[in-house]
Amino acid sequence: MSDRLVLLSGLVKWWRKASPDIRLLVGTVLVAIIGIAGLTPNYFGFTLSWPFAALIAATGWGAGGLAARPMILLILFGFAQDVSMIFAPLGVFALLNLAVFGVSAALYQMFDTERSGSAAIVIPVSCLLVGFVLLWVIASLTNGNAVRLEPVFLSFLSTMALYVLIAPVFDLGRRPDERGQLS
Amino acid sequence: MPRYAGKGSRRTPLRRYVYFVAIAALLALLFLQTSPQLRERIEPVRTAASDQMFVLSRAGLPEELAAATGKDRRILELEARVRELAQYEAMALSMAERLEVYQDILNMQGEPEAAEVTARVMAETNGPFAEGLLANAGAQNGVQEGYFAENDRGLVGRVVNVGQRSARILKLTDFNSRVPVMGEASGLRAIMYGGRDGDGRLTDPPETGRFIEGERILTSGEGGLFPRGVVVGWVGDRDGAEPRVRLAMNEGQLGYVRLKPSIRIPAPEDFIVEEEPAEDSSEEEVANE
Repeated sequence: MSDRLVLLSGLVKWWRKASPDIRLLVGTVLVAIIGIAGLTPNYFGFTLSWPFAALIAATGWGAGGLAARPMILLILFGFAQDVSMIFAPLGVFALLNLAVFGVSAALYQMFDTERSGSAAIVIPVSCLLVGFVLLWVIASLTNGNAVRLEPVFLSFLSTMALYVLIAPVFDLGRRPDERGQLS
Repeated sequence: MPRYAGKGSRRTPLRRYVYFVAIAALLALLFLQTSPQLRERIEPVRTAASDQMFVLSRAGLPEELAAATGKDRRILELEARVRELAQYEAMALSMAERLEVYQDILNMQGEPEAAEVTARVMAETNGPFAEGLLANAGAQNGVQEGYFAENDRGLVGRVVNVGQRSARILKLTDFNSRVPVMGEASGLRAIMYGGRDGDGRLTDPPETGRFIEGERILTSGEGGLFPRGVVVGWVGDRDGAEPRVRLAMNEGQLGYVRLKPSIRIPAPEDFIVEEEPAEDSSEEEVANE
C-alpha cells in the first residue's frame, strides 16, 4: 500500500515539473485512447453515450491561451471524430473543437487571472455547453430538421463527468499570454 | 507547476489570426459540402479514412475478455445459435407470405437469388447526426450502394455509402429514412419513417382502412429499394394520427448484420428495343430501285 502511495506521489511530483510539451503529449495520448475505445459500438450489450474527450482537451488547453500545436491537434482530432461519427460532415468536429478552444482561451484570459474556484467550475461548463449547443445547431442544419436533444444531452453529461476525472491532464501549466515552448 | 517567464506574447495577434483563419477554413469546408457535386468528391476521401480508422476498433473485445470461462463461452455460442435460428424463423415466415402470393397469381416472375454478405458492425452512432452503422464489408466483398441490412430479427437499414472495406448503413430509426411497408394482415400500404424515440411511424396510409394493432409490418417492395416481405416490426399504439411501429431489429442484436442486394426491377422504358438493320437495308434497296 505504501509503495503505491510513493508511486502516486512520485507521479504527482513528476507531473508538477513536467513541461507543457510533455503535458501536451500526455493529453494527446489520453484523447487518442478514449477515442479509440469509443469506436467499439457497445460494451456488454449497452450502447454508451461516449464522451467527447477532444472537447475536454480543447477546454483544458484553451486555459493556456491560443497556441499553434494544440490547435493543430484539435483539428486532427476533429477530423478523426468526423469519420467515427459515420454521418457527420467533414470538418464539423474540427470546427467545434477549435470553437471551444477559442472560447476557453478568451474566458480564461478575461476571468481567470487568479484561477479562482468558481471560475474553475463555471468556465469549463460554459465552454462545453457552447460546444454541445453548437453541435446540436450544426447537426440540425445538416440534417434538415431539429435533431433529438437526448443523445446530445447524454454526451454532454458523460463529457462533464469525464472532465471532472481527467481535467488536470489537460492543464498545460501556463497562463494565457505567457510565452512558452508551445507558441 | 512550470510557469514561463516573460510578459505578454508578441505572437498573440499572429495566433489569433491563425485561429480565425482555421475557423474560416473549416466553415468553408462545411459550406462546400452543401453542394452535392463537391460532396461527391469529398465522400471518397472520407470513406477511405473510415476504412483505415476502423481497422483499430474491434467489436466485442470486452465481452471476449470477460467471457474467459468455458461456461460463458458456451452461453455465447448458444446465444449465437439462437440468433441464427431466429433469422431462419423470420426467413421462413417471409417465404410463407411470398408463397401465398405465388399461389394466388400463377406464372408470377420470381426474384433472382443474389450474393449476400454477413458483416460485423464496427461503429454505431447514437449521436446527433444521422443514425447509422458502419459495417466491415465493402466493395471488396461485393457490397454495393442500395443493399439492405438485416439482423437476426428484421430489417435494419440501407447501405448508403460503400468504401473498399466498409459500408455505411442508414438505420430505419433515422428521421430521414423512408421505407415502403405494408401490414401483413390488413394488406394496407404506407411509408415508414424513423421517429425520434427509436420506433418507426407510418405515414401516407390509404384513406380507407386502418392498420391493426399488433399486426406485423413487412416491406412492400414498392420502388425497388427493398424486396417484398422483409420483417420490419409490429404496429404499436398511435402517436397522434400516425401509427407507431415497434421495430423488430431492436429485439435482436446489432453486432452483426447481413447485407443483401435489393432487387431493382427496371422500368419498361429502360429497355432499348433495337431495330433489325437487315430489314431497314432491304427497304432502302427497294426504294433505290
